[in-house]
Amino acid sequence: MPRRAHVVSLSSALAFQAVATVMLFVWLYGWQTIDLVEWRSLTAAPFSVTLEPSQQFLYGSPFAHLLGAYYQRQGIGVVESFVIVHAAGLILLAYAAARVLISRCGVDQLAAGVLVIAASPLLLTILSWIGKTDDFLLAFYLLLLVARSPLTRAILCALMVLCHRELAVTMLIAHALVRAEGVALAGGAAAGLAISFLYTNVLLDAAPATRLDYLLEHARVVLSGAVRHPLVHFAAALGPFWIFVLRPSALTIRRTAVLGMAAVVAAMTLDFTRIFVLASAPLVIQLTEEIVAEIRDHGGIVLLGSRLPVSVLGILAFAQLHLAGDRLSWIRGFSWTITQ
Amino acid sequence: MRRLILRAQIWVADHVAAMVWILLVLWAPPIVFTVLVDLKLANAAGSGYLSLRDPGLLLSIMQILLMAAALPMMRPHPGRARPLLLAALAVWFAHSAWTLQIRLRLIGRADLVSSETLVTFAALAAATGVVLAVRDRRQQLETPTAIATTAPPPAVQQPGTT
Repeated sequence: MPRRAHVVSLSSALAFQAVATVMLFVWLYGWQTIDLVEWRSLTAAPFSVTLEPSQQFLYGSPFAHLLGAYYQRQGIGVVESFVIVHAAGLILLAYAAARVLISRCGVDQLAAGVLVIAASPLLLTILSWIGKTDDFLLAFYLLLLVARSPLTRAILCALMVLCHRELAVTMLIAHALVRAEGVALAGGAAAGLAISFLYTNVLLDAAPATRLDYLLEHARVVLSGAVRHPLVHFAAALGPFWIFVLRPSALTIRRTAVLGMAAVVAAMTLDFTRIFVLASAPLVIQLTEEIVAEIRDHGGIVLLGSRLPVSVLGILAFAQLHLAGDRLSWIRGFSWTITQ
Repeated sequence: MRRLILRAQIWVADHVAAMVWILLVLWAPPIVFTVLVDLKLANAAGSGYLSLRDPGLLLSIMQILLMAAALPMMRPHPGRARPLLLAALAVWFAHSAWTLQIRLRLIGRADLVSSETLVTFAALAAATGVVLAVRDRRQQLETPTAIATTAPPPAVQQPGTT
């Protein structure tokens, strides 16, 4: 077989594997919605504090529910507006991920990028918390990576902050550490914080309780939970993606600082999967770029003394620690309906 | 100042596709929902017009179709989609005029200074500015090409003159 024909058949086989991996992953783990009850209150009266204090931190992430409130004002129902907003978020995320992988790794390495990134809990996080604004948050961050205009980057930073004030700031600090750039983004983040403050402290009829208030109130429980199973928390945080992160060539002081910061933020929220992987998403994306470059140049990456092809690495997506839990589709009683 | 305006024009022209996408995401779902209600495929209060006879709805559908049709033409440069964007803008003006005359009849002249009317005027002004920026940017891009194609051909080097 001529070399070019061989390369084409190899890349199409890899593309098939990437699509099959994502589809099988979605079927295995399914998806779960969250905060639909709060969505009803947030979108019905977006400028009144109607949630109980333990849930008022959701006002710090106004992007999605303001969008939902707009759709409801146009006559669309509560559940339908939820579906429209988060479907738009997921489509935007898929588009942004494809754009980043194509622009950073090349169109011929798109499938390899998908397979590498599938080993991290990012896909699991996006599918398990549909209702949080993680889809938009991550999509805006990925678009930030390909945006060239400083104004566009500032707007994307501000939108990230409106999606999730605390996580966005953590992600932008991680981005500054990983890519050694951040001064230009600080203006956008500051604008986002100002708009967020304007919303919570001026436009709302009362100042809501913040995530910090929630943390201070539950600090003892959260910290005792965080130190109870440190190894499990550590392993679940990035799942099989740890084998890429902990390679000696990949671990630098700046990247260790990102992991440390993500661990602190995750411990504060007692969420070692969603929060950890989102806080360290800039590192995950950067490492994916490096691994794909290594795959392109050498045909695979060196792990435990041997060079593994990307087709083997793709299997890691299914080695998420959560397989040990009750998340498998046939154990959970798979359902396609949205929880009311 | 002129340089700042030029940079703003370039930014707007470079991002006009994203702006069209955002407007489609915001406007298309409510229009689709209204059409479904009009066709009795969804349960909600109708407009009172016969099925698909509401001029406001028909203008909105036309506007969305024009904007959606403009999207594939925006590559490699949005200037190619300018006629469709202009048509969509004209339909938007017509839709706003239709809505305004209804509101003036229902509410009276006080509606001219209502927040909803002022926001509509501001949005129309901004959209006009965007379409003008796309036109100006197109002209700027075409000007160097015209000079290059009308410039005299380069002198041919005579043999033995090196």
